[in-house]
Amino acid sequence: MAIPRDIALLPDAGPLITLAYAGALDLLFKPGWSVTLVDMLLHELTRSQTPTSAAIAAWTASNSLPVLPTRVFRHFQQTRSENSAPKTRNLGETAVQEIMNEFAIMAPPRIGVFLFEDHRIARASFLVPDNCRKVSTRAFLSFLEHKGWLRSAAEIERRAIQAGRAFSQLRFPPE
Amino acid sequence: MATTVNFTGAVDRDLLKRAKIVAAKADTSVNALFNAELRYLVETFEAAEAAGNQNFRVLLDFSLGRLAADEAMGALGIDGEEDLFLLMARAHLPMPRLSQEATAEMIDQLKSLPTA
Repeated sequence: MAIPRDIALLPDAGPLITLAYAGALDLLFKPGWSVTLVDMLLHELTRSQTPTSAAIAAWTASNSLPVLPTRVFRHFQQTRSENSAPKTRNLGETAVQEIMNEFAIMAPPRIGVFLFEDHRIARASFLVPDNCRKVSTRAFLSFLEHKGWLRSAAEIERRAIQAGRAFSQLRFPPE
Repeated sequence: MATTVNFTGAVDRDLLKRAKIVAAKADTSVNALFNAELRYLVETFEAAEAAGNQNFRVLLDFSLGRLAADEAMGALGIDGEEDLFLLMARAHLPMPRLSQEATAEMIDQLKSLPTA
């Protein structure tokens, strides 16, 4: 039987954005699993100044979170140094798949819980190894509520949406 | 006074429960809330379409799960998930949702794991 610290919780960009807007990033620590980030995703979240970029970078640093390196990010950096406009589409998903593949051949095997927003789960065709779980932010929050670690999962979602509306300086509809 | 007609639809059970609470707090009816939000959606869609702006249509298609995030971001000319999240919030459109059954299955998976 695995011990909690041996389980890695790997949030995608979407869950980090949602939880950052809700001011609830620390909820990721509640189950006692090792919160781990993927280098390409962290870069995507912090490369531009956004309402949450500084908060996510500071949260990552203050909790000394491990950031897993990927060949995808190394290639991206290399391409960027040679070319001013490297391909960026789907790099986050490709990097996550790379990490899942590494979990598949890890010895001893380790459980990885990959956290995504609903739309990523519905669309992305990840090849998920047996020792990995693909779950949504909504499922994770409901799980915390079930465990008694969170009063209301719906309240977190509401806070994120309200903060998003308040923060949004984007013109709507955008030109 | 506009003519009203009845129609039959289906709604998420929990959402209806929350809508009833909101209606009670706002001293109105679920029917009035539904009409207001549907009017907002229809008028925003029509205004954008009349202006030759397809962005609301793109966001609506994403909300309904007919368009992937990358496709939506490409159509909107944005390159970050955060911008997409903000536009959805601004447009008063919900992010795409998986079914309650799919979510319940994932919750069960999490419950099977050891925790602190």
